[in-house]
This record gives sequence, C-alpha cells and structure tokens, in this order.
Amino acid sequence: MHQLSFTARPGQVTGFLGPNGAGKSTTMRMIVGLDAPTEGRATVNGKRYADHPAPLREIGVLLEAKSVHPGRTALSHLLGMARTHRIPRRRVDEVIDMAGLSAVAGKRVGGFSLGMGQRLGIAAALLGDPAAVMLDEPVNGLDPEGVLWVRNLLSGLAGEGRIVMLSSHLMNEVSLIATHLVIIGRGRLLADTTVDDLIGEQTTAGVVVATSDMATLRTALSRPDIMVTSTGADRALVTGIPAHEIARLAVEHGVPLFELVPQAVSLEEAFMKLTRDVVEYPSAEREATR
Amino acid sequence: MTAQATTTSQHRLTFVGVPWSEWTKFSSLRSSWITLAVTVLVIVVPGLLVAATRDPANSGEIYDPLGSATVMVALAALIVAAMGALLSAGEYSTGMIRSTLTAIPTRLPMLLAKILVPAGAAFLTTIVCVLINLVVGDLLTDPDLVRSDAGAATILRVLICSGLYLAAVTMIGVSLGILIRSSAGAISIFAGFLLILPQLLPALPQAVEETVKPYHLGAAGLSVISEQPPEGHLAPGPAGAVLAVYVVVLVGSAALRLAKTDA
Repeated sequence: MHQLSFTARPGQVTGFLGPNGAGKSTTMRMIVGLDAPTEGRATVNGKRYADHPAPLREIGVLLEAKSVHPGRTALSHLLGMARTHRIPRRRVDEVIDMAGLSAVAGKRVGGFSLGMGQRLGIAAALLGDPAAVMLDEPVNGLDPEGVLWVRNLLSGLAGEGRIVMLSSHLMNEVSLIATHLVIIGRGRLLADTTVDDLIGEQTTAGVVVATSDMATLRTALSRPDIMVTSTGADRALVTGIPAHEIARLAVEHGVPLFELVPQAVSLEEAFMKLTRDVVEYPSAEREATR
Repeated sequence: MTAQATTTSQHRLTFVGVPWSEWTKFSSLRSSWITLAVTVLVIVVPGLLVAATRDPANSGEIYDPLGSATVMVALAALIVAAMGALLSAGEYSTGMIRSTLTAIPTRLPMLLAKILVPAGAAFLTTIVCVLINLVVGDLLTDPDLVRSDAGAATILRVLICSGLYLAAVTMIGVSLGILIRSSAGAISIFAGFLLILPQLLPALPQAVEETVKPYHLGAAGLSVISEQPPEGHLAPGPAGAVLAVYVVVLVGSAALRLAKTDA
C-alpha cells in the first residue's frame, strides 16, 4: 500500500473498488490489526483498533467469507464472538434473525453454502452494533435474493448514520449499492469520486444516429468539432455533440431521424479504463491490445 | 435496526468475557469432547482392569493401588496434547483465527484464555479419573490382597500432580498448535518428542545420556506422578520445576509468534 488515504463518510455507502490484488483486503485486514503495516499505522476513530475498549462496537468486519470453524454451529460461532464483549444472547438471536439464518442456526457451518456463509459473516460483523461496517466482497456467492438483502441492509445501516464500506472487484455490483466510490490499484488511490460523477466523466462515447437522409444530416453536422463515422447504409456514430443538439439540427434541416441513441460508457468500462494500467494479472488479450 | 436497545457501553472486551468466549468455543467443538472422553477411557479402563485382575494367589507380591490408578496418566499426555493442538491450530487451518482476533485484537488475553480453558478441563478430568480409579478400584480389588499404603499426603500429591502434568502438557499442545499452525504437524512433533526421542537417547555416550534423560518431558512427568520416582529420575520437586520451564518456554514462544506475526 502506498500513501492510501480516503474518507468514508457516515450516512452513505462507500464502495471500495480495485482489480484483484489491488490491496482491498489487505487494507481491511490492516484496519482491524490482522496485518501490520510495514510503515505507519492504521487507526479507527483516531485509535488503533486494538486500543479500543470494545473493538466490535467500533467497526464490524466481514473478511474472507469463511472465517469460521466448520465444526461449530452458526449459533455457537456467534456466541463465542459475542461473549468476548459480553454481548447478550438476545443480540445474537437478533443478528441471526436479521441475516435470515434462524432455520439453520443450530446447524454446523461446514454444511453451509457460500451464500449462507456470507450471511453468517455479515451477522458476525453486526454483532457489536458497530458505528462502522466494512465488508469484503459481501455479495460474493449470494443469489439475487441475497444480493437484494445486502443492498437493503447496507442502505438501511447507512440511513441510520453509520459508515458503510464494501469492497468488490465488480463495478456494476457496487454501483447498485454504493453512492461514493474509492478506487485503488496496486495499493494506490486511483479515484475518490461518486457513482454519478464517474459516469458523467466517462460518457463521451458518442450518439448513434439512423436516418433515411444521411447526406443532408452530414451537411448539417459538418463542423470541425463533430465527427461522423458511418456504421451502415443509414446509420452513423456521431461524436462531439450531444444528442439533443443533433435532434435540433435534424429538425432545422428537415431530416427524419429513426434512431438517436447516446452511447453511455458502462461503469464497468469506466472502471476498466481507470484501472487498465494497474491490473495485477492482465489477461493475454488485453496485454496484446495495449 | 433495534440494536441500540440491546448493546450498550457495558458490552466491551473484558477479562471475564475472553475466557467465557474460549470456553464457548472449546465446548462447542466435537473434537474437545472426543479427546476428553478418550482421556477418561485411557486412564480409567486400564486402571480398573489392573485393580480387578490382581489375584492374591499369585505369589506374595504387594499390590500398589496408587500406582495402578495412575498407570496410564503418562500415556494420556499424548491425547491432551492433541486436544490442545487441535483447538489452537484448528483456528488457523479453518480461518477462525480472523474472527477470533477481530473480536480480541489485543491477542495475548486470547492466548491466555485459550491455554487455561483446555488446561483446566484436562486438570479436572485427570483428577476425577484418578479418583475414580482409587475409589472404584479399591472396591474391585480382591480383599485378600496385600496392599501398600502410600499415605494421605503422597496420594494427594500424586493426584494433584497428575492433573497438573496433563494440564501442562495441554498448554504445550496449544502452544505448539499456535507455533506450527497445523494440528497434524503439532501432534506429530509432540508425539515424536515424547515417545521417539527417549528411544534415541541411548545412542548418546552413557554419561551424557544419564545427565540428559531426567530432563526429558516424559521423564519429568513420570517423576511428579509417581509415588517414588524411578531410578535415575529427578525428585518430584525439581521435576516440577523442569515441567514449568517447558511450559514457560513454549507458551512464551507461542505468545511471541502470536503477537508479532500477521494472522
């Protein structure tokens, strides 16, 4: 990690993005003191995590999915963690309910699916009713119902004024849940932005236009800052001018338009563009097209 | 979330909570109960068999009830060491250690609790087993048998020391599990040290062998759990000190490794 600094604010969901190997998990492990930084220190609310009298109440973490002994039941696992802080049994039952694990609380964790393991990890993170929640790849392995549950849970937690941070290497997944984005690559900060800004910055892919009178349209659009690339007999990709301007010019020149489609760069593409040079394990194809 | 109501500032990391948590974790693993049950079988069954099968007609030998009650305590060391190693190394092999250290980031209180909980269980189990052997064994023994009487003070010393020896071995097992992070590795090393190393000692020059042998873990253990330490062994007092050194060195190393390395 190199001089990584960003702020996750209370009341909003911060997405923590980066390609595999970027340092997302390492950052989270350093915050709770599982890994020691080679230099400097990681603090939670100004103190080292270990220096807090009730660490589980400061920040709840979900690290790699299975940080659980497979021979224990979900209930004993949570009780074992809760009792360190003398958190009452009532609270353990609460988080089991919240995670939808009531039916399997007495079953051994070894038999859990990936999704149930994730739910158990999230339940454990919420045990201490923490002011901040930090989840590493929380929707990994969850079915659509589970993803929806995580999304609602996290926005609910943020709505209560908590700091909520989740990591992922899948941009689209995060953009559905997070509003604020922190993007890192090779241990460095690449972007500290919002989902809307990131999309705004990147929508320069042009507008697809279809018309029966391409010649007139080309004349109408003949300006040095506009580029018209033909993509078919009556279709073209126009860049350098917004869609509504094209529509206005087309009406002025009496050109009928069949299609007028702005080409938004997807978040995934925006993310790839940002991280292209820092991908730890680029695929051969991408390597070749660089 | 209605959580505010159920968790308040009184819920924090405490010296009561950490051992309570370790007890919860210990008692919720099947391996803990299996190893404890095997310990009971290993100590009680041979102890009672010896008591029940001694025949007074068989020469004029003097029967030693204390010796037969503790006949398998030395071997039970293997089982409690395995119990300790499974408990601590299991945390690493399963990833549980991440949850544990997230809840107890100060780490050393966790180690203390992780050592004391199974050691306490081993201590109590051993004491109960030896007591069963003494009491039930006495009922099973042929009344005509000529018995030696060790005296109340010695019986009490052997009883307590049997418990303490297996508690110490459990602590060593837990420490090895943390040092090696693999239960199979930790158990193998312990078994090799306890059983195989003494077989290799005779390869040393005799004077060296005789000097070194009493300081071996098993030899020192035998001294504290015997009414009369065998020929060439340390007296119970010094042997107890040797055992304490083993525990301090291993627990200390485990503490260093736990505190210094990434989990």
